[in-house]
Amino acid sequence: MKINVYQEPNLKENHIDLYYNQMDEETMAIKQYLSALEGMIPGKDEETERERMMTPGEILYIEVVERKTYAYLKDSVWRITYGLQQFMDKFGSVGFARNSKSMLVNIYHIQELNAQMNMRVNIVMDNGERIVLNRSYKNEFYKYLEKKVTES
Amino acid sequence: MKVVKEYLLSVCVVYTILSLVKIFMEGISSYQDPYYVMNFGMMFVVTCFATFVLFMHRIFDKVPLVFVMIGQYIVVIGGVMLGLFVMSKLVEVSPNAYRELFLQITVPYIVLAGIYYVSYFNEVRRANHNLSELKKMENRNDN
Repeated sequence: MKINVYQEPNLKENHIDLYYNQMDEETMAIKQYLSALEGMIPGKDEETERERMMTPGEILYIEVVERKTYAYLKDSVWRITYGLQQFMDKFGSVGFARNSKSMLVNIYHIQELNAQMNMRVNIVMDNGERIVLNRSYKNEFYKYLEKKVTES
Repeated sequence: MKVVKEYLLSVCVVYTILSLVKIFMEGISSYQDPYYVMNFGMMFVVTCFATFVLFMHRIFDKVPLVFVMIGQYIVVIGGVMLGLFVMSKLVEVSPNAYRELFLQITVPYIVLAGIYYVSYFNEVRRANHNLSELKKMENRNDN
């Protein structure tokens, strides 16, 4: 199979088109590989420059720090190319809810919500990390949980 | 713009409730308020001011809500008492005005704060219940 790679600086979004005359084994394998990649998120370790693909399900939460977006996994942090809203639009339906202006949390990785006497709510993640549920996003967050329970 | 609409709506609702309570209480006790018009006007000003202060909690998002509530109460009660003090220099006010205003603000504030406090814990309990339901469903799907 012939592979052509083109660089177009003005392109709005990177894309791959697969042309074939017959769906043979090789084409099918490439199609399956690309389909599997579609829901994957590329990440980069800023210290080691190592790159990896991750599934949304692996991510505990997303945070924007100084205009850079980071995905927090159980024991590692990866910089991703998505903006917060962009990520929310694409993966919001798979369990990501907003807990503050700069964060999205994966509700499937929440151990529990911890209500404090001073009326602050902490989100305890699976790895024991605690993040704050911002008051402005509290109602939206609770509604999202209700919606998810109703849907499933 | 949305906040302004919410604010105006809240002022209307709170003022209506307070007015109805005042009329109802006076009806029951057969009390005739000698400063009827002035008290209604004062109540409107207090409602606008108190609602405005309560709306400010959005700015103090990072401060624990208990401290925000206490701070807001102090600002509201302080502002209203100061306003009454200034007014008393210009027009005649009821001798019990300070006491009545203090009670009219403090009692509803404590009651509402209490309701909010209880509902806050209930909300968290319900959310935790939803989370455990989601986890159960997820585990069921995995198996």
